[in-house]
Amino acid sequence: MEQEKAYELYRNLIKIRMAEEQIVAEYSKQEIRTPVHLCIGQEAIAVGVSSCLDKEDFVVSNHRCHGHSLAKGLELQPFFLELYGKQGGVTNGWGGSMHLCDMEHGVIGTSAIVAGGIPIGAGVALAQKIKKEKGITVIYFGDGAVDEGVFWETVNFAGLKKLPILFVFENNKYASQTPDNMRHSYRDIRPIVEGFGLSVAEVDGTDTIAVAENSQALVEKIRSGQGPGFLICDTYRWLGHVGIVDDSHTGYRSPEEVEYWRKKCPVKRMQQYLQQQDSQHSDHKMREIEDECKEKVLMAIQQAKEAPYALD
Amino acid sequence: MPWTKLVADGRNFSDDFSQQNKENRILTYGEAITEAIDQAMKLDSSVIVLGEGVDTAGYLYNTTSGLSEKYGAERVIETPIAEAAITGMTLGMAISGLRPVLMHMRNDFLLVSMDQIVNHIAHWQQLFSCNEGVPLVIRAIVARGWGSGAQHSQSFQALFAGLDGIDVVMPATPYDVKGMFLGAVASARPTLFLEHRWLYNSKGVVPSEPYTISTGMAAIRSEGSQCTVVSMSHANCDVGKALEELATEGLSADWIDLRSIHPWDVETVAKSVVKTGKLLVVENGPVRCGVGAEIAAFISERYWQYLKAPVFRIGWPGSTVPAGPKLEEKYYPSFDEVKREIRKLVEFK
Repeated sequence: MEQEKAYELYRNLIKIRMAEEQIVAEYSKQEIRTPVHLCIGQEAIAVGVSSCLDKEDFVVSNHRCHGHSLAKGLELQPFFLELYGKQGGVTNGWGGSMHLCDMEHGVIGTSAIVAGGIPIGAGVALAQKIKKEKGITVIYFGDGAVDEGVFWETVNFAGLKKLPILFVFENNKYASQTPDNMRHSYRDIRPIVEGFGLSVAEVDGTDTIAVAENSQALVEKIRSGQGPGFLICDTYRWLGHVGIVDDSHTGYRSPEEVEYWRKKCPVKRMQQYLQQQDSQHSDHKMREIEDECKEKVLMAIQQAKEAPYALD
Repeated sequence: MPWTKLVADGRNFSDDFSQQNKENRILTYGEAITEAIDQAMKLDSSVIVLGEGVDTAGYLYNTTSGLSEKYGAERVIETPIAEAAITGMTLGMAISGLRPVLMHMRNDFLLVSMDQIVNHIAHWQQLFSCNEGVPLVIRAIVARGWGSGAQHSQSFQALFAGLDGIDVVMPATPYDVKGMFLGAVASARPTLFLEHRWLYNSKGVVPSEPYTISTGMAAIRSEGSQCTVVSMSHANCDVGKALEELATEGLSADWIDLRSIHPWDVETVAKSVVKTGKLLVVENGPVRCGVGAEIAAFISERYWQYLKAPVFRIGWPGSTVPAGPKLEEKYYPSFDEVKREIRKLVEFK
């Protein structure tokens, strides 16, 4: 990958990680009064996928939408204004954390009902196809969503009509606290989805470069009219389903498992990659990116705190 | 935008229209909706129809036949029986510059897509402030009789009327079904468009050119002084017949066809109640928690000083429609019952 592009990916990773770490730092002050579903540990997917997308491509996201939106271009200021319920937030305080959007950057909407956004994304893609537009639609969902009938209905229709969709399956192993082996009679979704005529790729969802390269291959197929692609991403959320703490003490997952995945940190992996590629300058350049990003995050939070509440 | 001018030109009352109309063309309700769909597609290439049966034999009671030949299969989309997915896709298309019209043979099938209608369509504009709104229409037909029974004859106007983000309409005449359909397609808001199968053969004057009727406007079908009768959809048929017979006894009433369930025409209903002091709502559906319940509550809250009697309601006795012919006959309010209730209300002291 080109060095400049790799640094852009790093910038996006840091933007999401720092934004969410600051949410964690601020949350106990009870000024952010909206349930947060953080994606710490999963950032590589949104960043890698977004690196293959253009402005005319749309994204439909779910309750865990911070990373998807920020990676596609959502600015930090309207993001934090929304979390604080203030004027100028992306939905002016109506949606909160689970309903981000940013039409300017193609984040067309977000559903907090599991799998609810999937058919909507298919409709967006169907419109792109009918209008003969160049763009594609990315639909993000987790392993909880594949339990839903509407997921399978949509996969079927997308395959039938060869819609320009990239399905991004973020398999973080748990639907809230319920592990996938308590929910799925199948072990491997790949052959099932392939049976619907979708092109499938599987990737380590903590490796940003691998996500970017695999997405690129699928996106090219989709753009050339070969029908939908399906990216299976092996990933993990470090914190609980909702909120700001690692909930492994509650017993549904082990602290060892969390530790295993923390070692696969997407940010650290990207740092290692850049150090290998650009050993002379990477430390300096990464620090610059981090400092710049930290300042932006802190400023956005400060502005959000000072901004007036959205009242109507 | 082909719709801006059409809406601005919109005529709103069939009575006014038919008096001025020289064309005097008579169509059935079924023919009128068929023509409306065709004209919408002709007017605007962003109008897409989709649903199970729109492009296969049957063509939703022949209301979509010939459309795919005329406008192409890309605009007339036959779908799998996947109500949730196709409803979500309808929303996705509406926020992407198209004007989709989703079609269901029965009201009952709407429920399979409840998550998309209630959790998504109804909130979308409030949450995401789309520049062009959410211009989609969901057509669904209320059936009745021949043992259609519990899951093929329900009428769900009241279930959806509480949602801010969706308009619910129930046209009862050929003139209205055409104008309200074109109005719904033109509208930037999602519209649930509920037809009634038993109205399909009813006849009336329908102008050949396209015209729109906006939501939220009731039609006064006849004027009188002794009470106000509000009805909707097929329930209008019994009311009309009852009032005609009662007129021979010298009884006169304001008869208001609600047409639009949400928003409903508060002004027209209230004005009439202020005049007559008595109100009966004839529901095309179960009485309990029906549209009549909302109207009765509203009128009682705001206009109680004008009321000379409690608000009366007639409708279906329960929510499970029976199939057997004798059970069915007993279940739906008869025209005699409507007549009796009107007389009772007028005589109330």
